[in-house]
Order: sequence, then structure tokens, then C-alpha cells
Amino acid sequence: MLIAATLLVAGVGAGAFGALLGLGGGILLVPVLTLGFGVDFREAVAVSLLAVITTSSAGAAVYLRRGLADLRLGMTLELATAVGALLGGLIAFALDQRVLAGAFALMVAYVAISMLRAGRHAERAAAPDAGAPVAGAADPGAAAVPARTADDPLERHMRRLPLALALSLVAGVQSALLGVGGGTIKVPAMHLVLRVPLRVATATSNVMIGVTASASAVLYVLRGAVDPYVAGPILVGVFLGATAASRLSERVPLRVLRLLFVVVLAWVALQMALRALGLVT
Amino acid sequence: MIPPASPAPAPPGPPDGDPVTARVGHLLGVGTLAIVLTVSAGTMLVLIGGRTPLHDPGPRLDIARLVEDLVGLRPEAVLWLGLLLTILLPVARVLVALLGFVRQGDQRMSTISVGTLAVLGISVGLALLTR
Repeated sequence: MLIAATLLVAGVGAGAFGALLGLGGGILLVPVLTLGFGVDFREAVAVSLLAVITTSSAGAAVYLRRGLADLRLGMTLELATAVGALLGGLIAFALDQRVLAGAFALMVAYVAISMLRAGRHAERAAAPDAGAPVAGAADPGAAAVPARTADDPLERHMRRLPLALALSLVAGVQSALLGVGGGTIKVPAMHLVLRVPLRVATATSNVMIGVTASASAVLYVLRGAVDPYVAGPILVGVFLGATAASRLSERVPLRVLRLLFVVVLAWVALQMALRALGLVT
Repeated sequence: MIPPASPAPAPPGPPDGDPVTARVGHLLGVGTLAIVLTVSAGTMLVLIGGRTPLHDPGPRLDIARLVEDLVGLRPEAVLWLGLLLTILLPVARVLVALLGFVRQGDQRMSTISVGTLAVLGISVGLALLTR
């Protein structure tokens, strides 16, 4: 019972921390499970994928109801992320776990540096994965999804769509290999390539996570890489943490939290790099 | 560096009251609740049954026996049902959207939805073939 409670609390922490900063739980869950509980890297990725599906679905429901996410754009790009996730899910079983740990270290280091450089706009600039559904949706500065007119990004930037699709494919591979939502790639793909307003890109990225993660999660589940006893409390914890954080977001000093988060990410990157180099087990 | 979003008032609902978006949003809300409740129930039943995560290895998913185990209220089956619902919710979301797009006569989105379902189907097929 104590171990289950510890897993639940770890899930709450990962979900809350991630949601407060607009990052998915995955970026914290994988290191918590591998470094904290000694769970196999591949299994941690699988559990993380299930958790991000749940939190992103909750967030997507809010975003869609409030008209903040562009369902058609998301579904167009998620065709590419799903293909990427399928490929990533297959590659994940062929790669050595040290390679995966090294890739995770690089991604975490990139996110940490991005957060430092983003300064006071970090919570917007750090591309979100799952989580923070209600907080993001309630933001009065949020931009609306344009109506299906000439403002439709799919219509306006059709020539750039292949690039956005290619980036989405890479995001799908990243998601499947590392157990994250892939927002670090998808949000810039929509915002910078298709000129979608940042908040809409963020919300739309959240909507896409479910299908992307499902495409690879099914590979992990059916190949026996998921321990349901671990996944259960983690999934519930992450959902509770993300939900609670979305209600507390306005009362939390984000600047302090962000700095703390950067320190945590730097430590995670170091540990994962050491693991990749075979210096720790 | 990515610039901040331009300020604009939050809209009250989906663009143009799009019924597909509204239906998908509703499905995701209800589905998430069902997942969390089922996984919570399964986890509680497993713990009451004396199993300890990380010490006792959880059973692999046995699809052939899932229904039988659910009828027998086996804790692991309830937990697996919740985890399977997690994977199936996004699939259901694409199906619901596809039906809406077909009704609207939106050929492009209907084709994209069918393509996404095909990729998910291939994923399941490959997983079953290579397990």
C-alpha cells in the first residue's frame, strides 16, 4: 500500500509540476520512474504515454469546448504524428536503453535551456505537452480558433503544410521513443510554420497527443512493456496533479517554480547522460 | 524565440458552433472521467487483494480472457480495462469526428480521419503480429 501511495504522490507531483509550467507530465514521469523507482526505461515510457493520453484528453475536452483548439488542423497534423509514433514505437524496441536515455537527456537539456532563455515569457514559450488544461483555457489572453474562412491556417499556408507535416512526424517519433507529448516540436511547427496563434497551437497540440500516444502505446501494451500495477496509481496521480494545478496556477509564483524546474531538469539531464554513458545503472 | 500570443478575448465555444468539435469535446470529457474512475477502481481492488506495485509483477494483458475475467470481477481485469480505455478513447474520438465530417460532406477531413484510423489499425496489427 505504501509503495502504491508513493507512486500516486509521484504522479501527482509530476502532473502538477508539469501542468503549472505548461509541460506534460511525461518529461518528469520518465525520470521519476527510472531514476526514482528503478523502472525499466521502456516501461517508464509506456506508463508515461498512458498518463499523457489521460491528461491531454481532459485538457482537449476543455480546449475544444471553449473554441481554443483547432480540431481540423490538429487532425490533419496528427495523421503525420501517428505515423511517426508508429515508427518510433517500433524503433524503441530495437534501440539500446542507453541510447534512449541519451536522447532523453538531450531533450531535457533543450527544454531547460529554452526555459532559461525564454525569460518572463517562458510559460508561454516552453512548448507544452499534456496538462494544464483548464489553466491554459481560462487564460484571458488566449487567441480564438479562426472560423473556417480565409483565416483557416490550412488554407492560408497550404504551401507550408508539408514542412509542418514533416515536423509533426518527427514529433510522433519523439513522443513514442521518450514518452512525452511532443509539444516541443508540434507547437513551433504550427506557430512558426503555419502562423497559428501560440495559444491555439498550444491547445491544438494538446488535442493531438491522444492519437499520437495511442499509436505507440498499443505497441508497448501488447508487447508486455506495461506493468498495470505501476501504471494504475501513476495515471490517477498525474490526472489529479494536473487537475489540481490547473486550479492553483494563478496563486503559484511561476518565476520561482520555473527556476526550480530548470534545476530539476538539469539534474535529470545529467543523470540520464550518465546512464547513457554507462557510468550509472 | 517564440513571441507571446496576441491578446484577444476568449470565445464562448467552438468556432461557428461546429457540432463536430463540440461532440468530440464532450466525448473526451466523459471518456476521461470513465478512464480515471475505472483505473482508480482497478487499482483499489488490486491493493485490497494484497498486491504490491514494483514487488509483485503485474500480469500481461490477455485479451482473450479479459471479458471472462471482468465478469469474474478480477482486479487486474478491471485495471486493464481502464488502461485499454485510455488507448481506445483517442480512437473513439477519431471515429466520432469521422462520422461528423461524413455528415457534413467534408471529404478532406473524412479522408484524413480514415487515414488516421488506418495508421492506428496498422499499429494494433503490428503489435499483435510481433508480440
